[in-house]
Amino acid sequence: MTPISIAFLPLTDSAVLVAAREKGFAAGQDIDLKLVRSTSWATLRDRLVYGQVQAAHMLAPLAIAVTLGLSQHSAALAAPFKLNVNGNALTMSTAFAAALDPDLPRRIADPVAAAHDFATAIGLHHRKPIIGVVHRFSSHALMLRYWLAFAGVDPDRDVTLRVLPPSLMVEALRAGEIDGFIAGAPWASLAAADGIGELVAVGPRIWQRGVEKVLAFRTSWMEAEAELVDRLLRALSLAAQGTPSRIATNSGRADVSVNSRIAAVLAGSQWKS
Amino acid sequence: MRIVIIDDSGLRATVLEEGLREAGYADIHLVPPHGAFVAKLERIAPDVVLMDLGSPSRDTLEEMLAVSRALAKPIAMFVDQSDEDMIGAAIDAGVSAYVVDGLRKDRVKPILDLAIRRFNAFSRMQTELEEAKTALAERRTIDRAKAILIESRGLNEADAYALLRTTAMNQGRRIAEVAEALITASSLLGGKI
Repeated sequence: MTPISIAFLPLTDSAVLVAAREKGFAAGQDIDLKLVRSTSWATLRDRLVYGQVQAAHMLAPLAIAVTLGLSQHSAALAAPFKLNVNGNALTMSTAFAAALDPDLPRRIADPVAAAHDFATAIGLHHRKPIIGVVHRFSSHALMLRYWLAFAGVDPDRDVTLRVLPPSLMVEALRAGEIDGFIAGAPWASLAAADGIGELVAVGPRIWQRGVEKVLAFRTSWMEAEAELVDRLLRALSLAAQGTPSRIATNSGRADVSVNSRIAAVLAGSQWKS
Repeated sequence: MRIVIIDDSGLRATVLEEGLREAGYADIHLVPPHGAFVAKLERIAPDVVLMDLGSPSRDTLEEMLAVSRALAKPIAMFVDQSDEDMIGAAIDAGVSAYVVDGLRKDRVKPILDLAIRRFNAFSRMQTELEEAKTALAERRTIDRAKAILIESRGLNEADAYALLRTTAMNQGRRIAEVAEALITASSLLGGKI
């Protein structure tokens, strides 16, 4: 078997990689898949750029930023495989959300109206709201900027964006260090369940099928190992067919047994955050 | 040369700081990556920032390096991108280093070398500590299993241990595992120990 190492962050959208390894899809393509757990995007990026791993589970905009030389050492990256679309939600503190449409489903359904209400709320607030994002080069940050622009809010002038690991968002909101955050699951739900935040907008209503994470390779390695990369992508594609997707869920075709099987695999301690 | 160590683990940071002081660096600041650590860093204005590669706060730090107006010179990761060996060693050891632009490589290299050595020594120490803890716990388990055998079968201590060992060998398991199983079984059967 050919060894391949992939760096990942323990997030739900690493599911396809975990399934490819744990459910034998990689072994079926004669690949010995090793998953290298990372705790920050910076470290995941370093492992890919400096060749400690052959591929990485990466924020799509970060892959572009690394290629453009905007995120530390530049390296040409290629991303032939998408690992997830959407999944992010914007949460604001209850104090802030009080100025928004109180009808939550209506607020979520109309992100343009919500953005205008939000612009008004900024005016009512006595200081610039601080919003947590997971990374400068993330779909989260881009989506937030795009959404703020619906109502003419300048993300660099009218709000302060602060980078925080998603696992620290809820605590930072509770401590009043931030007024809101945009992150993937389950952080928005946790803040809502604790009564400290409210959902303001969700990814798919801002940007349909917004690319979230990709599998990024160093272009030079990918081109030199084309046959191996084909096998890996085949394994991941097969794994993805056995992994629940958001599309299946939306159309009510989610296979509950597949969901619970993959959930059981992901609950293994080495894959959890 | 002003060095900042950003670290969660008090012990590892201390080990690193000690090493740097021994090597003659006096201007060292420890900053834990919590709350407003970024503002603190801006006030200190370091030449070199050393950080655990495993810290989730690296993204927060890099964001600050990207936007900070307080830091006069841009700070980039590692010293010289051409030094692949050293970068590999640093990543293996779990060290990330940010250095102000214009600082000469020969001035930074000894610091990074030292950080790599200390980080490696620290993780070796932790592994040894873990191993020692496990060994101690296993010895306790084996002692309890021996006590059960001594009491229920009237064996002496040496024979009780020999029985555990032979069983382990026959089953291809570790003695501690057999001892664990015996303790579980004994408690299920209402044994005293």
